[in-house]
Amino acid sequence: MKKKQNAALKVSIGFTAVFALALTALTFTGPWTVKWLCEFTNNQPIEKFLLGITYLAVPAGWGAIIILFRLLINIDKGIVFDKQNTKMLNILSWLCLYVGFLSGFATRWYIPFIIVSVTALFIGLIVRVVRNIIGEAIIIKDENDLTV
Amino acid sequence: MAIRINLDMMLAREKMSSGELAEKVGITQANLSILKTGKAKAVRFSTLEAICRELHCQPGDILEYEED
Repeated sequence: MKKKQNAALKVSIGFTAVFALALTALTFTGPWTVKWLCEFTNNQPIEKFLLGITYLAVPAGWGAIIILFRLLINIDKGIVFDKQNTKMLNILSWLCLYVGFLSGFATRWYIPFIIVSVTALFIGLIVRVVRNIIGEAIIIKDENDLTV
Repeated sequence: MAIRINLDMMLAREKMSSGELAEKVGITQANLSILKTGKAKAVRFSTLEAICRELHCQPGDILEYEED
């Protein structure tokens, strides 16, 4: 069972690393990536606007990646039902909501952003619910720890 | 807390150390300390039963309700 959990944790760390690499690539190649996307979709007039939106969302992406790594490190250390983790989940949900609202604002000029917006808002909501569940679990764990 | 734990008094009466009681009851000294200092949120019936058995007393001798 422990072996299975370790494998699952390694898979999660691997996926987070892949996203970190993708975000690094986007951070450094943003102007070219956006230019290519605009040319590909015939949206050259809004290239600068899309670039702005992308770079406004990138810090949130980095914040999310850092939080995910910290959460995975905590799980590896056996720190699961901890207030520090609920704080990080709270920040993670706000980051998702920020990207959701940002891309929601961007739909005024580029309608396909609605997919990003709805997805980010929904993920933010899911993370908030998970944070609430962890919060309740911490209360139960504290009571269990103080049961003699 | 409204429930007071009179474990020290009972231990003194039975001339027993905390470590000895913890060993006989089958709990850790850390958990017994949690109980003695009133930090415990709950006591299992099995623990209470073992404490009463070892200290030759009733649950009421250990637990006392105190008005706030």
